[in-house]
Amino acid sequence: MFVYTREAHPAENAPAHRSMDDKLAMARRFVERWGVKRRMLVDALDGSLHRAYGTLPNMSYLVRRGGRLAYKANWTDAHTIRAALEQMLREQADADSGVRLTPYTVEWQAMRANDRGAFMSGLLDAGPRAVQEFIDAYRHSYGDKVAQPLQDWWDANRGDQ
Amino acid sequence: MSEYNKAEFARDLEVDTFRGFRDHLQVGDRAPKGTLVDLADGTEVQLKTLWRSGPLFLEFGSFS
Repeated sequence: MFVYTREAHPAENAPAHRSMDDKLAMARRFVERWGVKRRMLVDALDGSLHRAYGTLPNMSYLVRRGGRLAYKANWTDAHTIRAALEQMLREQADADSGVRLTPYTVEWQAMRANDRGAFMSGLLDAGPRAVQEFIDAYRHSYGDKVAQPLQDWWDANRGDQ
Repeated sequence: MSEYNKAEFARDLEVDTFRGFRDHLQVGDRAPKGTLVDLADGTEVQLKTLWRSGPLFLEFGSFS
């Protein structure tokens, strides 16, 4: 399932939602833009569920049958989700075979590919303001040197923006 | 504009929110319940009904 939240980078083409109609319309645009096949569920305008789960822009969770959290990630990555689902399938197979199971906890800091160009292009879909505000935030938080590659991308790709 | 539906991207890159995520919910905890709208038909869905019969994968996100 996909849970549609507030706009992470509100801008010209994806403004902050003022109503539930706004939010539903943006969710439809998202489904069309990316060809989403999964069931799309839209959170309340005040983000009550998004906030209950941590308010991050692209987090993911795996919930066990019955409602206990089995997996949480501060970013969505297909590889780790696949590993978590495969683990869950193994557990189910064991349970079906009558194997006695007991819980344990793993902490795992994974590394994911970070395609700067693809990310910045995604921001540009939302509008040039999304790109500029992200660069400004990077500059504010990390300084000019760290923000410069982002600025270089924008300078090379802004075209008529 | 509400505090949640911000009109601008946070200049601090939401660093505190990312830091707080680790302790916000723990694996093993009961998943928070809530009501969502199914985009396909506009009906309300109680999240707890979706994990009643099997596991549930949730990804959170937006157009931007």
